[in-house]
Amino acid sequence: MPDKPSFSKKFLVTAIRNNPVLFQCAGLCPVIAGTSTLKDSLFIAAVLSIDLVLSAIVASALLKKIPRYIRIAVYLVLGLAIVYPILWFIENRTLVEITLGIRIIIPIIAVNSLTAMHCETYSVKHPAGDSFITSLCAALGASGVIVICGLLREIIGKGSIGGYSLEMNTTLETMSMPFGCLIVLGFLAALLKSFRRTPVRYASDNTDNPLQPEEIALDIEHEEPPESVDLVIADYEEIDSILSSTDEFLKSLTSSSDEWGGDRE
Amino acid sequence: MASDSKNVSKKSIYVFGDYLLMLIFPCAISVWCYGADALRTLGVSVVTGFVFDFILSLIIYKKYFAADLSTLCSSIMIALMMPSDIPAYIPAFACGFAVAVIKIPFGGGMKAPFVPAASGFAFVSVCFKDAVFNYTSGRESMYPVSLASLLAQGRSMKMTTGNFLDIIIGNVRGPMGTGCILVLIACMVFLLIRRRESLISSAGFLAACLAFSIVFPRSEGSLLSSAVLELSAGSLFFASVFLLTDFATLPKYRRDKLAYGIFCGIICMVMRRLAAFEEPVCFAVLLANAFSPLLDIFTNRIMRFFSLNSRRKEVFTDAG
Amino acid sequence: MKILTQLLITALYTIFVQNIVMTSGLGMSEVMRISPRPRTFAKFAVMISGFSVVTSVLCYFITSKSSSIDSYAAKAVVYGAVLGSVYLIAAFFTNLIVKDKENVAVLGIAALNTLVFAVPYINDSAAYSLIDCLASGFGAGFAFVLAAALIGSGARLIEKNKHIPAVFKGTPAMFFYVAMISLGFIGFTGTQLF
Repeated sequence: MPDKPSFSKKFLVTAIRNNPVLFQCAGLCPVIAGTSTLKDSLFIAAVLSIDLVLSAIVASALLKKIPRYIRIAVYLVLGLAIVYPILWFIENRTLVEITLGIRIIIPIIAVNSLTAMHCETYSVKHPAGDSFITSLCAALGASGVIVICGLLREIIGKGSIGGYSLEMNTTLETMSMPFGCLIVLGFLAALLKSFRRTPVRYASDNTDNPLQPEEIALDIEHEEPPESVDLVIADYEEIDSILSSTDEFLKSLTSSSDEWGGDRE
Repeated sequence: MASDSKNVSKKSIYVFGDYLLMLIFPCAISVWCYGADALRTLGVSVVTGFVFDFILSLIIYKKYFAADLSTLCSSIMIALMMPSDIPAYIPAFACGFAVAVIKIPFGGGMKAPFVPAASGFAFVSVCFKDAVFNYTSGRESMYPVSLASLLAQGRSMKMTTGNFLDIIIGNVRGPMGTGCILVLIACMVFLLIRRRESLISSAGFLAACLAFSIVFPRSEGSLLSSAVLELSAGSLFFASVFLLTDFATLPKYRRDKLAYGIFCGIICMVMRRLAAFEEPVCFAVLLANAFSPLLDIFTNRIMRFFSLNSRRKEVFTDAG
Repeated sequence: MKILTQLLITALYTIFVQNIVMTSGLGMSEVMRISPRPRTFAKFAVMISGFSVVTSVLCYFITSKSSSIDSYAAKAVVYGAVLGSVYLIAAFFTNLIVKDKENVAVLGIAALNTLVFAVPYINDSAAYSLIDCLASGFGAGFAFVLAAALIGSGARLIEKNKHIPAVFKGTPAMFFYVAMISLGFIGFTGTQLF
């Protein structure tokens, strides 16, 4: 049995190689709707990270025996418990310039899919310490993407960084729209993929579980693997097997065949 | 792999070669009407498209596919849908977007699920709305207001012979290469000879737009003027010839092509009425591209329901 | 008749003109995950519409009756409490009374997602009447399914396309595809939702 992976290896796999936003498409709503400026992104990243880590610890420590359909509601309650004081603070102190749109996005973080998915597929099956580290890695991975998105969108869309104007002659205001964020995410995912060396399994139509955090195909002829690939693959397989285990909550979406017919090539 | 890429190159030359031949005439008209400005805009588009394509191909594919003429076609189409005096960076952004986001990531102009020219133009329409729909330059004899803005204001134009001739020869301010309806009709005739099946979508599109303009006219004038103005305004006719017949996005079967064209026409006319953009045809093309697989399934099911699908005739485009 | 027309117009607006999934990214994760399973679309449409309608109506009555719920923090708690309660009642009913364990899991995804939670906010910011709230809730479910259908069909096209470069295969190409659908929907109104 391989040794327990270290923090750096877990970080590499959870935050980089299986980045929850870029490759598992989890927690997209706060990213798309709330990262039009750097300040907003930092705020969203902080709230999302706190929500994810706290929910993961609580799920791991207290919720293992609770039925799944009640656990989901508990994540909502936990999320609201985190979000309410933050919103109260924003409205009453107004120390931070938060745009109007963000005030709607912050409560939505209470029901974001990243928290529910991570807690259900990992946290409830592992001890609190393990769960804390993995959720921290996932939170760091998601936060990194959120902050980079916000930075790029603000520079390209508004010609400023953190509110300080860069005095650019031309800006693309469309970057502050959702489709601008999706384009940035696409390029970030492609950039990250270009550094990956090992192939990733395909979440094909034969997968039992569409909500599993698997990623879409990568069918490449890859280069010579690095020397430490055995250890890296072992860590990947371990975490991958954990992530790919199904439970009743996710199994119910199994469908036997793909119904998409269509005549297009 | 080598033979596959050779086949793709041959097909690309065959398909996009036809478009390039057709595009010569709107380009010539635009230069005649708008002079050096038109040349500058065309030049900037073509050069930017080539530069983006060259650099990104080298980065991604490690080689440049000179035989893929789709970038050249898309760049020219984008330029022709713009005002002639538009700042140079706008068509540059549009062409860069079309190449970097649509063409390269999806495997080339023959495989992109969205029309690159429509994507690039839609992108800059959102980014630089005022500049893209601002038609101030042109010859002295031109009608001073674009037809699209005339209709958007609910106004009309009396359909006298003189006005009608002005409209069909493009003696009206508007996008620099899409105004001369006569030339576009000639391009349609060329397509009729070379790739007849692709015009089914154009026919559906124009029929839907015509019906909409007659049933729900925007302007106060007669139904004839409403129909003529709606079909001639902006880049609608141009889109029916060049964007809706795009090889990569056109459905395979005849009824799917027709459904695709009709759907695009309806969406375009609804968008015109909502008036978010003076010329929303590129957005309608994007939505039609997105809905196209669903339309295929939908028409297939309808035909099966009416038991009309017992022997489905496989009809490919002439290039296929 | 007038009420029905208003209902229909608002619902169609929510589904097509300003598709709240495509124009604001609400529920995008769930949409991308549900999209390969077209057989579940009808189920999700009904469930999401149901939860959105019930939550919208209850939130409308609570916020209109109580003037103290005007801050974002208070609204978050109220909307979240309403949504959580509605979900738990539905889940208990399905699990314990109807004993349909299969659909209990689906209920969680259909109820507790960013799209359903955002519907009362949208209704509030647009100052919708009760009829409009009903229609908006109803439209949310179908907007979700429409987006899932578009993305699912696109994913299939992308999967079949062997010419996509390796670095763009998978989620990068999917993001670009969804971005272009979103750009297409912008043509209706020219703006985003928030």
